[in-house]
Amino acid sequence: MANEDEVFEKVQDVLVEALGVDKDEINRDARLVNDLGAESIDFLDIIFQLEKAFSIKIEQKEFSQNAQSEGGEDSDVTVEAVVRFVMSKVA
Amino acid sequence: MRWIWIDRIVALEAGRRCVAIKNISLAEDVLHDHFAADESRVAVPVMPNTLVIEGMAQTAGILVGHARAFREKVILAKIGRATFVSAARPGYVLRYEAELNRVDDHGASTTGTVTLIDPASGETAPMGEVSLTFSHVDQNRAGLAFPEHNFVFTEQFMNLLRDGGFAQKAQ
Repeated sequence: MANEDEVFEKVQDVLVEALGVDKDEINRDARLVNDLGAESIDFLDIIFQLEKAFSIKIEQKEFSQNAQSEGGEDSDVTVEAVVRFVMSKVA
Repeated sequence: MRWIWIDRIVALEAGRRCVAIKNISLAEDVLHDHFAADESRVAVPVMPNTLVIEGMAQTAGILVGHARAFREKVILAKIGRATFVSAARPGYVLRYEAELNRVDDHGASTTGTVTLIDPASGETAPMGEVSLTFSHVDQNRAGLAFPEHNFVFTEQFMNLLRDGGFAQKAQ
């Protein structure tokens, strides 16, 4: 069973690499687009990097339907949603 | 306009790696502007690192395109990381080695190394590393439409494959 704090830390590392933001900007409530400046192509990069970091396979559609659906009207993704999504894949 | 920044493909392993060579020549105009002489210094002709990245993008792009039999329009979408430790001077040769990390319906990611070869001595030295993300543009998340013909893999690129002995793979 993966430890949620460890998953969060690895997700932070992925987002630092993919988005070029400082690690301390990446709190659980931060939204990838509105707060961290992610663009559409960054999601492809993030998914590929999450796959590598956690040795999992992620379908784009699966990511959109799960992590992004939690964002409400603007379909943005919170870091927390990404962590939960990864937790569901590594459990 | 000829926008091709590799001269020869020397290795192509399906879905795994592609290696290309680029000869750096003073016949290329861009070297004379980068950096031209001014009041304070003599000219220092160097191939801009942006074009070194373009060479890697073309090498890796062929690798990505080949993985899907050139059916997709493969566009460089993001330079994840590019680090350089030396300069690409005229008379030297660049060796691009791109490796495919991941490819799916939407795009691909690659990592690659650039090596500087001195043809005078045969010595080689690491020049840089470049990580790229490519989009299969017809599958873009924004839903934008692009022309039907494959404007990415032009005759120039297919000729490179043929001249490298990879013609049968460029169908």
